[in-house]
Amino acid sequence: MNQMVNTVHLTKDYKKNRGIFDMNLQIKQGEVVGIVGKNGAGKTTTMRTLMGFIHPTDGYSEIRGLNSWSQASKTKRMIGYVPGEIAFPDTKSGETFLNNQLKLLRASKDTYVNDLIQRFKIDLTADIKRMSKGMKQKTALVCAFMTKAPLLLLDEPTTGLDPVMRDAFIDLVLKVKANGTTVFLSSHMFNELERTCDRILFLKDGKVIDVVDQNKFETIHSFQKVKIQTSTSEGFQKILTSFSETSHVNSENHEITVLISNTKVATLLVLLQDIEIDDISFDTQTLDNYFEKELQVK
Amino acid sequence: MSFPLLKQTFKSNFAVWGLVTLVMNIILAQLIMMKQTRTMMAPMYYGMLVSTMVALFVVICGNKLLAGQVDQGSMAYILTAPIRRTTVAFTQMIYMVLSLVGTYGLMAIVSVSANNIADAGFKAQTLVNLNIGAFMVAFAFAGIMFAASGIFNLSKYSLGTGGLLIILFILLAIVGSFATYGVDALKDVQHLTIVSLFDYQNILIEGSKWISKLAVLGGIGVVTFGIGTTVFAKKDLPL
Repeated sequence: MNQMVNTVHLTKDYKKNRGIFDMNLQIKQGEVVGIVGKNGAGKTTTMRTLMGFIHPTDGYSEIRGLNSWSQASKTKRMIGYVPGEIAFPDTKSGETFLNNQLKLLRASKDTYVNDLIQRFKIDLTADIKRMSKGMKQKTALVCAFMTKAPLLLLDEPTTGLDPVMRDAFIDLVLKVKANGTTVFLSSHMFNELERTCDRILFLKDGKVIDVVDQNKFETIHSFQKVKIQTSTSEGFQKILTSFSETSHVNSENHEITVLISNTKVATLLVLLQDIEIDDISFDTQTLDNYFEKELQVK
Repeated sequence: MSFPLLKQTFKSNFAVWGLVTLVMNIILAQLIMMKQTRTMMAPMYYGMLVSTMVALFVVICGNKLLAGQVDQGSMAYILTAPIRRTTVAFTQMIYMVLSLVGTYGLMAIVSVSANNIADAGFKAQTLVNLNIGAFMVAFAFAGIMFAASGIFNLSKYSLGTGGLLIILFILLAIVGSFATYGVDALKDVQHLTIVSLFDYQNILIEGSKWISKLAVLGGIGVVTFGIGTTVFAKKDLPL
């Protein structure tokens, strides 16, 4: 299959353990790949390096075999980009801005652009300086998608969007994915990535420490997170000894959270028959829980 | 060069350019037309005012061309398009030079016309030469500001180096100009500023020394514009 993004030992060392280190990443055409991590984990640095805005200290990255630093003007023909920080040039309205941008791209306003504007419900006549954060984000999204580029690099594309618009965004990603567009996006909202991504990379201190693919998604979802509060400490102790995998224990309130696979739920219910319970809740394990757990371990 | 970018740059800087150019032309025309100021026109206008006023435009616009847009983040949109960074810098440089050519070209026309209308007695060639000289000062200023704008990612650093240096050159030129009025001790101050490389007195007496001095200003401009473009093309951008 066609390789869209390829990084080899990609490193940008900002010293003091900041930056990205020895990143080896392959994204095939048509894949949607997410990258998550805490603030400062290196998500934006990865994006900027792929855009050719930053020169790597070591290693290199390629877009369809073209070096993203030395052949940046050629690789950008293939990229639509949403920067992590949205700041527009001094133009009057959103409309002037989009028109200027289309001229820079040497493209013209067609039905696809209009469709995007409709989809995100953007008021183009609004003064660009007075736009709300969400409005700016939506304009930036239109800017990236209207390039019709085969690769989209989206740095935290959903910040500031309301839930309805977030859904509109997810729909759009799935739509372009169906057309064979490759999408690489960063986020700290795990659940929106779950709906769109084939793979999710977990970044910590500039290193990819975990990759979640479709198989792992299923494994993660096959676990239940059960939060139990017992009335007596005997019952609390009983659960604690029977289930080794606990993610949260509070002996004062007799509160315990256990992680069990779906197949073992019956065992738990049997055990609970003899225990007096104040409160109980079941949740399917999500990426949020999973990464929370991972973070504690690593 | 990128024409769409040139057009955008022209539009977003038009107000400052237009205002500065208008004021400069009005003052120049007035100094030539009014009998009382006519004799003082060259030392007043070409000795001090012209470089001070153009510095306003050069510093504000020069910063905005590169550093300001990187600082703000809007440079990301220009560089998302398939344009080389060298092309971006080169286009911005072309804008800067062309707008200065416009300003001083207009001033040459206005000064020659005002001279004819008021019968002020200047030779047309002298007026043209004065404007060429003043243009070279502006060209060197623009280069210095452009270099600072290309080197730094933050407006405050670009203005704090390039802008400050230009203001310093102007202040030294003003202080040094008192040497002409008998304060000989200040003569050396004139060697500290590039503004004095525009030898308007030599142009007035129709000498030839002024030409080689202007070549130095041209050299400063070419080198600094080159530095700005090169650094901008090679540095890391926080976009």
